[in-house]
Formats: sequence, C-alpha cells, structure tokens
Amino acid sequence: MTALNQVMRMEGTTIMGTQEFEDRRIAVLAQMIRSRVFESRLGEEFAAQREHAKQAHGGRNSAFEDYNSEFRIPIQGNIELSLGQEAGPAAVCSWLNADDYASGTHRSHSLALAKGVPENELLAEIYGKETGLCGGRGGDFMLNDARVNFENSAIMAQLTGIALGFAFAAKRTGRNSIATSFIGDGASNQGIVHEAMNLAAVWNLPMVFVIEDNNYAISTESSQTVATGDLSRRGLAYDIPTVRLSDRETDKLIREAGNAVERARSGNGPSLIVIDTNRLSGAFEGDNQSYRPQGELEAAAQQDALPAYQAQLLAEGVVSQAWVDEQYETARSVFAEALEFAEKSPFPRADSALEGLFA
Amino acid sequence: MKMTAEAQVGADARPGLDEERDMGRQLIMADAMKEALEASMLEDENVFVLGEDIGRMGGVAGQTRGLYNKFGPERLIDAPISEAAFFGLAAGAAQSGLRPVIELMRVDFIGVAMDQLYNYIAKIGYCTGGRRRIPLTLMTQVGNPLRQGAVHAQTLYGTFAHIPGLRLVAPSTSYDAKGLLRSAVLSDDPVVYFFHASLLALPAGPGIEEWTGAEVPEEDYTLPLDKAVTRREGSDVTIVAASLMVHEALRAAKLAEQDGVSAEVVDLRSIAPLDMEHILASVEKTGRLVVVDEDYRESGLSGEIVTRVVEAGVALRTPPERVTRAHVPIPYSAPLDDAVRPTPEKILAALRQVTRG
Repeated sequence: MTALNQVMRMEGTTIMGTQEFEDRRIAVLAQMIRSRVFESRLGEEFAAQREHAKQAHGGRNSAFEDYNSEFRIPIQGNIELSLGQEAGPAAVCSWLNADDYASGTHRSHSLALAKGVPENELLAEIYGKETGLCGGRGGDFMLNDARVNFENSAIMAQLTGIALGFAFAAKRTGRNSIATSFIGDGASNQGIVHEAMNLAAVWNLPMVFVIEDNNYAISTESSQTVATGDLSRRGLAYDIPTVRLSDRETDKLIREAGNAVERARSGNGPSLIVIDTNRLSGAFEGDNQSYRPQGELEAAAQQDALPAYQAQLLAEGVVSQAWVDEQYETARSVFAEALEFAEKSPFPRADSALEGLFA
Repeated sequence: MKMTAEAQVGADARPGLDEERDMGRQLIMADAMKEALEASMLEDENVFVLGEDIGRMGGVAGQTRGLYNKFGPERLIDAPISEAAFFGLAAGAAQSGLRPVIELMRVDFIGVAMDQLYNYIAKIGYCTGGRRRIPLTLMTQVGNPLRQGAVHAQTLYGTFAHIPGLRLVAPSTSYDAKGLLRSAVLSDDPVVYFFHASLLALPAGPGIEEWTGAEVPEEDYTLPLDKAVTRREGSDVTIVAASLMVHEALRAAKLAEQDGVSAEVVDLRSIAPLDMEHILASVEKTGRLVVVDEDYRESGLSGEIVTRVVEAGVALRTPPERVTRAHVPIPYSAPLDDAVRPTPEKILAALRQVTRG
C-alpha cells in the first residue's frame, strides 16, 4: 500500500451526530474560548505593563530591557501567543488523558490549557513565582507539568525527540497512553523532526505528530523555506498516515484527531496531522508584523476558526448564546483569579538557586 | 550482594610489585563494562541499551558483545543513525519509569545530538525544580589509539563538563569501569560515562603495567560517582589526571623517580563534579601541581583544576604546570599528532619544571 493510499483510506471512527460527538464539540469550543480569553488577557496585561514601564521611563523601551534597572514589570521575558490557533490543541487534546504526553513549542499556552495545565500555576510560572509549575525555574519557554504530561520548549522541535520516549515507554510497558508532539511549519524544517518521524514509523510508536501551519516562522513565510510546499508530505515521506486540513473544518479536525489518537492507542503506529491555521498575534508580543503583506492580517482574522465554530454550533442549536456568554464570563474570571494568584505569590528564595541540580 | 567498598587499587599499585603475587581475577575493560550492564539488566527489567550497532554486533568495540544473545533485541536495541532522536527518546523514556543506557559510538558525534543533551537532558531536572528527573546513562568512546584524525579522536571532557546538570565519569581501570558503570545506571541523574579506546583491552593489551592489573571481582559492586582516588603515593608533586592520562602519569612518575622525584598520582574518576577535597588534600601535602588532560587546552578541565586549587589558597611552592592537547584540532599524521598530544615525556618535563631548584 502506498503512502498516498494510506492517506486516502483514513477512515472516520467517530460518528458525527452521536451524543458523544456532540458533547466533544461543545467541550472543544469551550476550550477554545478558555484559551482565547486567557491569552487575550495575558497579552493585554503584558502590553499594559510594558506601556507603564515606558511611561515611567520617558517612553524608552530600556525601561524593561535594562538588566540593572530597579524598575521591574511583573511579566518577565517574551510572550508568544497562539491567538487564532486554539482549535488544533483543543481538538487533539479532547482525545487525550493525563497519562498521554503532549509537547509544544514557544507558542503553547493553548496547548497547555487544553492539556489540563491549571491557569493559576501556568501564569505564576510566567511571573517567575514559587507557586509556578516549575517553581519559577522554567518560565514560559520551559513550562512543564508532570501531572498532566505537558511540556514545551522554545528550542524549535526539540521535544519531538522527547515525545518519542514517552511513546516508546508507553508501548514497552504496556500502558495505553500515547504521545503527541506539536510544532509549527517553521520547526518542521528541523532535522530532529525527520529523525523522529522515521524512528516513530520504523518502531511503530504510539505517536501523533501535529504541525500547526500558520505560514510564518516569525517573519519568514513557509514558501521561502519549505521545499515541498505541502507539509503533509513530511509524513508521507516516512509512510506515516497523514491528513492535512484547515482548523476552520473544526468538526473534521476533531474526527481526524480522534482517528490518529485511536490509531496510536490501538498499536497501529504514528500519524501526522497538518493543520492550516492563522497566527493572529505577532510572533512575539510587541511584533508589529510589518512584514506581512497589506490586508493579510485582516484576511486571517476573517478566517479565525473560533468565531466560525462558535457561530456554527449556535446556528445548529448545539449551544445557546447564554452558554457562550457564560463561557467567556467564566474564562475571564479564571484569568482574573490566576492573575491575582500570580501577583500575590512569593518569589522563590534567592538562596535556593543553587539547589537541586542533581536528584 | 552488592559490594560498596572502595577499590584498594592505589595502595597495591606500586613499582616493584611481587611477580609471584596472585593478581586475582583479571578482566579486560570491555568485559568489565559488559558485566556492569549485565548486572544492571538482570536486576532491573527497565534497563535497556540503545545505540548504533550495540545489539547484534555487540558494539564497535565489543563492549556489549554477547548481551544481545542473552537479553534479546528488546533490551539491546540497535538504533538508526539518528542520535538526536534516540537521545530524545531515551530522555522521554527515562521520565516514564525506564532506565536507558544510550551509546554514542564516539564522543566526536555529540554535535548532532547536542541540543537534546545540553538544552534538555542536563537542564530539565533543575528547571522543573526536581519535578522531573532523567535517570539516563550515556556511554561514549573517547581517545585516539588508531590515530583517526580530528573527528574520531577527541575526548571533549571540557565540553561536557561546562554544562551544569551532567555527571561525568571516566574509568582508568577495569575495576572502576565495572563499578562506575553500575553506579551510573543506578543514578537518578544523567551520567556521561567516557570509556577510552586505548584502555578497552586492559589489562591484556600492549603496554601493560603493573598498576593496570587490578582485580575485578565477579560479584556486583558499585563505586561512588563523585570520588577521586590516589593511584600512587608521593611527596614532591601531585599529578592530576583521568582515564588514559592516569596511565601516562604513572609512567612519567616512574621515570621521575629516577630523578629522585616522588610524584603522587590522583585519578579523577569523576570529571564532574570534581572531587576537590581529594585533590586539595594531595596538593596541600606536595605543594606542587601538574594537571594532565587529554582534552584541548583552553577554557577546559585542566584550567578548571588549576583555578580551583589556586582559589582554595593552597600554597604552591612553584607555579603549576599543565600537560594537555595543544589547542588545535587533532591532526591525522602520526608525527603531527605526537607533537600535540600529552605524552609521558611531556609529563616528565613538567614534573622536572615544577620540582626544579
């Protein structure tokens, strides 16, 4: 059987219209809203803090770039938001449990939340607080929650390799868990991705590779960096069953994610899902995206999967406007609580910095 | 039954060894390593070995030969030439209850897997505040007996030692090779285990010296991963070395004895963390220091040891000397290689320098 045939033969194992599927659609939309609100609020907070810093320092950026300045804004580092990309993580993670592993990149808040990372500890880690996921030692670029087997890394595609190990161990020890690895189109050019896909395929590991293709690696368009154009060929090259679809086809995305997860869980090896999506925010907060052609961002906003899916479920009567409103309201109060938690939490003791290098 | 007692190698390893003496059980280093792996795998089903050509073939140096037939392809896993992927795989598996031993065929190949090692394996324990740990052993071959040139010959101790979060050990004897590897597999930290190509046939190979014939007990034993050992007692000068350089240092010490110089030889065994307590005690006694390092000269292990001795305020009677590889890539041609590598003659010259006058 050729790889192409495998793709053509991808079958739906999840039936639309069943109550189970309807519940899943609702859960996915709820998660998308929760992620959207969290990141929107995070972006607002970050912008407000930086603006405050600039004002306090005569409009200079150096207010938050001077290492020795006494003046500090609470959110450390760079913030990379996944606004516009919530559907993929929400759809895939709707099939995962806490034992399943998920790894992300620098742009992973939506994935973290969809995987079940608590907002309070997530934000506290971004604030560098003792109560954060890693006690303030990892930060936004090394988020890690062993309880739900989520982590991210700002080294592009690094964790694709680590994910293999979680899949390998699951298979070897007879656990029913699987591993998923989320990367972007830019990271898919890394050698480790190809090594990992080859190894996952040749050893039939329970893996789901996900490429969130937002067409940009910071400012560089995929067309300038990806020889094949169509990233689904990344999977076909290794005989890995592959689908490519837009996150606006959210129902199909949920189904195909279910198929891929089921394939891994039932011992039938790895899959690749390529999700065409849109990065609505800058590569990092403060990035004005001037490199994007005129009108492109506006067009991308029109393609935003969240309002589209929300409108679809409303139109079908699957959810009510009151339910939708309640989701946003809840998400906002969850963020508010997380913000208060992060702000009020203590910093780690400075004299603990040398502890724990070894077990 | 595990034996945790320290090796008494140093005490017995002196010139003029009685030829009639029973040397006890002799094992080449490759076989000593194999015994450690075998004991580890028998004890814990979660231990497996993963690397290129370590299964069916038994390793390019024979260091896993026979284990495949005993434990099968699920425990001795031949990996594709994808070091980054199988390093990552091992790191993930190590966080899921498994205890991988991975092999990097030659230390020179670390470049292609460096990100997995230094940005992940070394960091994740600390950066998660101990919520994650990576019990992983990385075995890798160092050294240049075949004179293979710049990319099949390095030791790179300093490259690894510069990374916080890795334990590094480098055995110089078969006894240590077994005990240190056994401890590495039992450790909950990532341990890099450097085995030297020139020592794999110890003590059966050419250049055998009396100190290489340390007895290797049949029974299982461990050694501490962070302790140096004195191989030769002396009163005039301390030579600090690791792995093959311990042997070169001992040869130089023998030559120096003819000059009336009494050299003490400290075998690091652990390159990270350094057993400074042991090193300092020796240098305080002798007041002179020669560091021998097969790695490159600049910003590395030899400089670190000298610095820490100086920082500790030990009163040196003469300036310390370093005998290292010159700071150039390792040239292929034998005369060129000889010109840049540490040799017993160069160590002897350093000993003369620090004991002059």
